[in-house]
Amino acid sequence: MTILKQNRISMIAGTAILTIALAFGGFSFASHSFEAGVAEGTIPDNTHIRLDGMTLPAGGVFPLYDASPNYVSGHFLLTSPCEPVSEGDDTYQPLVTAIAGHIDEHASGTHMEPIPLFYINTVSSPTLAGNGDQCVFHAHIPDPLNGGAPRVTDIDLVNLSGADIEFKPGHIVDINIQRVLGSIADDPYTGGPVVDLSRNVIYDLNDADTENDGLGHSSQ
Amino acid sequence: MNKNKTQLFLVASIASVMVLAGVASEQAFAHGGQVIGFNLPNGEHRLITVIMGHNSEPTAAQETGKHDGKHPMELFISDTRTGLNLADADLTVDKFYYKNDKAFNKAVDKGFKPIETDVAVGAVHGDPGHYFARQILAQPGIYGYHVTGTVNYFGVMDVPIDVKAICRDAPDPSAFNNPSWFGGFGCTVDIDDSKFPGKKVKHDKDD
Repeated sequence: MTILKQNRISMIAGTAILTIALAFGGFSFASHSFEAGVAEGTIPDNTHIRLDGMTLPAGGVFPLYDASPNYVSGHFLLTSPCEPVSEGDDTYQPLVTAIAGHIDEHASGTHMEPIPLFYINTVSSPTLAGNGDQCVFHAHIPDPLNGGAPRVTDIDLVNLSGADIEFKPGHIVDINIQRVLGSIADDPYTGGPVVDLSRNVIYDLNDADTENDGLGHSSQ
Repeated sequence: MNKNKTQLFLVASIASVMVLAGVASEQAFAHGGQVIGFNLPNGEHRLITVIMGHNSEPTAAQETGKHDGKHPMELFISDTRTGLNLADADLTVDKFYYKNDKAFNKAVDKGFKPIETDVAVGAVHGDPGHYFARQILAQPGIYGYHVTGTVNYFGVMDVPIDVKAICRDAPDPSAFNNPSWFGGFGCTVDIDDSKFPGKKVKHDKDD
């Protein structure tokens, strides 16, 4: 192999890595203004859950994570069957609803809200395959700017679609917990139960619509 | 029987650890604070909590060969609802000092004047939301701080900060503190005051 060929391969590989880094890392940097990450020398706690093979019936709940009594901060990733937020929209929402907050044994201390989700169109099936088989969503736990429960100990999936949801290979949840922010015993929810069972609010930084960008995301 | 004893011992041990842990955390965090409200650009209301005190309380003044007196004025700044730390701030502090109650009371009547103004308050490396104004406390007495500037709220906006408080053993802290201040931090003592037995302890000759 000539030096010229070697250089060309290196250049192609370098360009590919740079493209991937810009495509994913660029979005990540812009979207993580309130994620401090883990302290230096500490490994985050990661929970990876395969959903494939599961059928969640209408009204069904699938608990994903429970850090009680600690409320925590971190990052949430969901791949799910999806549909346009409204007919003809290029922003998609998951068929399943992701909720977070605190589920207490006392109803008055229970507080669950839909997680504000960011639709990642570049790696979702509407862009890649022209169908709604698999959309990728990110969320920040908690999201102080765009809503959702302020203190999160519990994360669940709920089927509010009115029909069974069948999960297939590639459908997963990944929860990366980076910091413990406090104890729900010290900062409890009161006056509950508050259980908001509306669909997730979806933000999209990559379409022409700037109304659904949410707060905290400067341009790339 | 033995099983019951073991269970009792375990319960007692856990209870002891919990009680001691609670006491320890109270001792380590003699600070006060303020909650500051503001509106996001979308109109939603948010709160920032600013906790202020001296690092490494209780504080004692510097004395050669006994104590270095290093007690930075420290702040912990976080989003009140979530507890997320706010790691980007542009702050300065005006520093106040009164030797004793008499000097403080005089200032209540004539007005509080800072000894130092616009001292930089910097972020503590590797500890988001934690800020120091580094200093050596040179004398025992009554110390107060007035912190002003802005805290950046997660890249969306700068929130004005105005936190003002004097140490809690001052004769009338409310004369100095911002009205919304809660809690308090300790005043600074002579290092010899914490000795045991101290110079003020006297015993009868028969003891």
